[in-house]
Amino acid sequence: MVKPDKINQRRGTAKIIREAKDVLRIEAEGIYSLIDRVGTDFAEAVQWIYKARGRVIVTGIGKSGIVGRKIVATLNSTGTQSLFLHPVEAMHGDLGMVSSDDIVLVLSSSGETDELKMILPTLKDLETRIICFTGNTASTIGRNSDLTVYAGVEREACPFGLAPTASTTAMLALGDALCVALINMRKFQPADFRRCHPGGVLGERLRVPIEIIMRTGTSVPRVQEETLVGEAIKEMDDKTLGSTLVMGNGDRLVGIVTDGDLRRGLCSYERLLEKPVKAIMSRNPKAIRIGGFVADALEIMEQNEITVLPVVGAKGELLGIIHLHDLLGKGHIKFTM
Amino acid sequence: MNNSVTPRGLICSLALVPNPENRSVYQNLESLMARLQPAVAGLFLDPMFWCPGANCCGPASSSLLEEAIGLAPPDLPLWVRITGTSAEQTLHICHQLENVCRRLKYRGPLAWVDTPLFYHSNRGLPEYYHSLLADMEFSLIVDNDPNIIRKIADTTKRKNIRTAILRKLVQEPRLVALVHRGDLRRGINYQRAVRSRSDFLVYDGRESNFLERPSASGVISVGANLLPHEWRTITLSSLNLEETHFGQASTFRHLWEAGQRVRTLQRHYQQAPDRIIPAVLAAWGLILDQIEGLTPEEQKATETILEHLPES
Repeated sequence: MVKPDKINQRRGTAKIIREAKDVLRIEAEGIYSLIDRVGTDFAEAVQWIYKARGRVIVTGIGKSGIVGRKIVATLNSTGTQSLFLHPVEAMHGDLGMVSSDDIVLVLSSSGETDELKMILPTLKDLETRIICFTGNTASTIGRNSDLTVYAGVEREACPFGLAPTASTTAMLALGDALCVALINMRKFQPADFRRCHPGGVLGERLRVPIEIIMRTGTSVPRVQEETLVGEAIKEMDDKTLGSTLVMGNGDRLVGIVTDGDLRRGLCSYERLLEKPVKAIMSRNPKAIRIGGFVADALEIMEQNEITVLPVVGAKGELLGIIHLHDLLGKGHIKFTM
Repeated sequence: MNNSVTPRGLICSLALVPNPENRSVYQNLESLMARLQPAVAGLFLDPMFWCPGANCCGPASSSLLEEAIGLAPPDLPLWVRITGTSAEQTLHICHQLENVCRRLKYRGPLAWVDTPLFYHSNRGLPEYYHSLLADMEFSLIVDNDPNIIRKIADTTKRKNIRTAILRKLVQEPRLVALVHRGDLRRGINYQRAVRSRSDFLVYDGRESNFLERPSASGVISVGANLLPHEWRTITLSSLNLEETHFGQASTFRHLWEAGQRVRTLQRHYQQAPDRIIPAVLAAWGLILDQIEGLTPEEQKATETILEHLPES
């Protein structure tokens, strides 16, 4: 027989799990509900920031202030200059950091935050454009902003408004949407990220020299131009990179055979396995010169939509090969940062 | 003055008592409304609460409704339940009340509230509402109350409005809000179903839902008859309608205490709010009618509440 305290413990556990699921469901719905509300006002906000000559000054207080700091961090690390302005410090001199070229992003769920309402007139005097993220577009701050973006939710997960939950999650997600839209508009590349973000796992990974992570020696799949396709497939299978390099005279890289080349070859030749690889290989494959960084390799792969990249020396001689998974720390080289 | 008939915030369902002798309840209404007016965003006249079951459409509740509409402050949105025991009776009540409004020259924001599953099934509901709304002067709020359906018709196949049906219903622009008294999961599904209408609100009709995971539209509260200001405080805070300065410990404590007070009382009256709350109001002298025939449990709950709240 199960003891009563055990039963109570199980019930307690079930209740915790049920409540946690409820909270996650409510927070997820908060973000979902914003999807239908994102419209031209949001697009205009992105355009304003993209075209602004100055910086994005983010301001908010309490939980909105914490969300604001995160938005600032993401904007800065993705190529948009940004600063956080504490509304109280703003009233005591920090408004001096704001210029008319800047755009001020005000975060306020209620749209009635006293400290923010107090700095609005000065921001207007400075002729700074004001964008507001709020759950109450008819509020004082909503009405007095140049652009108001709805950031409200249908339900909060915490009683009495003691701790804003879904509303701050939604605002944070909207901030991320803003940052990602700007990344795309600026054509932000991994190399740019590395420049802005030398710390952190991603930044660390991107500035690793490629010779550290490239595969060398017998782990590099390679065949000669005259090798039959059947043997090339075996080489591809053994080295598990989904492709093999094709070598010409003097260890010179002349081509590459990928799964895609095999598929196309199957359509062109009846007895494909007996053909030499030079019949189906892609000639002059994209390659990276030794001395580059992971960020450079990633950029070449992204631009050319490829997943493997040969590494060559100054005279075009083959030195190794990199797979996309190696760059992401998922391949045979593990990043232990 | 709030011009919207569906304001975000606290809607108080008036805890009135219809009297069979058809006496005037003027004094009851006047004192109650004066007490509630500063705290609430709207008032709800709900005969289903006053006279549970099929009695909700009787002459006693009709005269009470008429009197209440006459006394309602025109600067507050007023919701009035029109649900009858059949589609024909519902339309009849609606027309009767529209005549009352015309006669009384009522000018405040007004909406009818209906619990369709009380007398109609999910099947054909969008078509039914389409024709009902064509015959109506005011906007309509739909009430989903599985408990009341469970009480009156055990054999009814569905106790809740189907989500797919609600999705069709909100295509009617004069259907302006939903009051949901069921479980939270369904409430979330309903909110998802009505997203095509950004002006459509989903209120929590079950107080306990709002006290745990508050809807951003608001709540229909009968407990607000007892603690209007506490309910107002937590509603405004829950809906982010007012800035809460958590930096100040006193604000945090005030909010917490208001919430706990509301919760404690809610636990005491939830077994029979239609009897216990009027009994407390009568003990305070806010309504003149005495509630007779309380069960021992109801009597005990009333006394406990009066211990917590010795005077209004």
